[in-house]
Amino acid sequence: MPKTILVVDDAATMVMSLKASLEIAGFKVETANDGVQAIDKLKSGVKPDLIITDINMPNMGGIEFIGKARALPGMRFIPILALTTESQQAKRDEAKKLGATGWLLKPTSGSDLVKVIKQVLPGA
Amino acid sequence: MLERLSRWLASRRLPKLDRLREIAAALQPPAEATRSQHFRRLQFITAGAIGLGTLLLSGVVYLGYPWSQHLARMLSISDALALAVLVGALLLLTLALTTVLLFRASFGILNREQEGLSHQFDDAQRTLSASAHIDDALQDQLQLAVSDSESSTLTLITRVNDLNSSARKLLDYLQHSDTNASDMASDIREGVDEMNKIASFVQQLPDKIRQNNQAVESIFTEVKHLEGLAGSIKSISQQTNMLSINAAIEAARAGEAGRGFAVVAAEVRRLATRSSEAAHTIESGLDHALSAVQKSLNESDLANASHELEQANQVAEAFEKLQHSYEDMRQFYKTLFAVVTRHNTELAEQIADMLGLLQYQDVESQRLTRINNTLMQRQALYTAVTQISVDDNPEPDRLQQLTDALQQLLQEYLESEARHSHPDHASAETEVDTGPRIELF
Repeated sequence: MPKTILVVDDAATMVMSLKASLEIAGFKVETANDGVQAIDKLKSGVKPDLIITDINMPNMGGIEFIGKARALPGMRFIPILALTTESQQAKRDEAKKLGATGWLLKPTSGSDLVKVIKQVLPGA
Repeated sequence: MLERLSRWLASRRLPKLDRLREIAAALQPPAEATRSQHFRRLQFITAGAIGLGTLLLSGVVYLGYPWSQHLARMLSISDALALAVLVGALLLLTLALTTVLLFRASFGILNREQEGLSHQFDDAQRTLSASAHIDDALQDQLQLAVSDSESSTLTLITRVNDLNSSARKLLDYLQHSDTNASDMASDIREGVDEMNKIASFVQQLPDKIRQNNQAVESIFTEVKHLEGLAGSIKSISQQTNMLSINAAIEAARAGEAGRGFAVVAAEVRRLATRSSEAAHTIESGLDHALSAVQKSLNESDLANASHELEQANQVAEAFEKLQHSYEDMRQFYKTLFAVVTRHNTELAEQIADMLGLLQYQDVESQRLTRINNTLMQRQALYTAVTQISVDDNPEPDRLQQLTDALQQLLQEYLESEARHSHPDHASAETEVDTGPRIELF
């Protein structure tokens, strides 16, 4: 049974490239274009094994999304990785405080990304 | 600040840079050289006025001295006082003249400077207006570049997906073929086993025929011996017949006494005849049987059948070769499958890495968007200044306000850039100032 990953990013190129890259690595991929859409998906019954989110997004940014996702039932221990161009330490600290599992700067190669996913997602 | 702006603009490889530099230069304050030129002119006018006044004063004192004495006598005052009054009046006159000249010169300079400034202001407004239009055009181009790169990247991703899908299909096909080949191998192996059994039987067939022939030949010899026995029976029956004839002759000689003996002799003769017939029948049957066996032995001549047997053996050998060839082909196929699988896996990894590199598009797109936003704000600042009229008595520090606003805009832009990652295309593993590229909390 392949593990499911939810990809949240407002850039279509990011969503498509991550989806293709992760599917090649054997994962099932769900996508959302911002935090609001992602929260709706989680509430509608999508149960990802891991979430990869951008930080700077319209409607609901990544930081707010991490906080709201963590508050949902069953989402407390799901690994959440931020994949962003944002390198400000304050934002990292804020994301960490809200429950992010890791911080990756764009661009991250497919092999590095899969390596990190395998680190935080046992059995992947 | 403007120098910093100019330096920053010079360091960016943006189109229309010369025009932007011109705008930055236009925002520079009036040159110091022009001001000192005006100051020197004023000094020259002042010195000239004082010199002229002094000369005039000296001449008037020299020429008016007699007149002052006359005045002193008329006013009953001393000559010295009269002279002092004269000098004082002349001094005041000179001072007034100098002041008037200075004022006129100053007003002239100020008017010219004002005109110059007004022209400069108009030029600056025109420059800013042109710059605002350039910014507008640049924004359009930047948006187009972002849109184009996004579209190209999406097409690329689709193509890469197709490529990966084709590679996956190839692998699935090979896997399916491998399964089919395994089933086929099992069928071929069973067929070859059956053929080997047949070949083995065919190989053993000459020996079996030979053994059968030997058995038949042995029977043939035994039966031939029976031919002699039939001859003996025949000979015995002939002798018995002769004996019965003699007995009948002797019975006839004996007359009545030999009548019974004649009956026995006749019976013996009949028995001899029947024995002879039986011996003849046996001999004839044996001859038929022996000729039939001989014919059978002749027909099962192994020398004649050797060619067919050899061919049968060759068929078995051919089947064995076929089996070996199939095993070789199967091994080659397995190797081919392993190689294709390995290359396909590497291809998939490279595709995944390439897809990761496409994240550069998003990084660059965000960078272009930040530049675009900065250009938009700068355009708004330029436009605001171009809408001011000199006749509206603009605030004297309006240009300074623009400079401050541009400085703030630049500061904000640089800070925003610093907050975002700037990947080094040569080595993506380098760390940025604010933290590692990959960090697990």
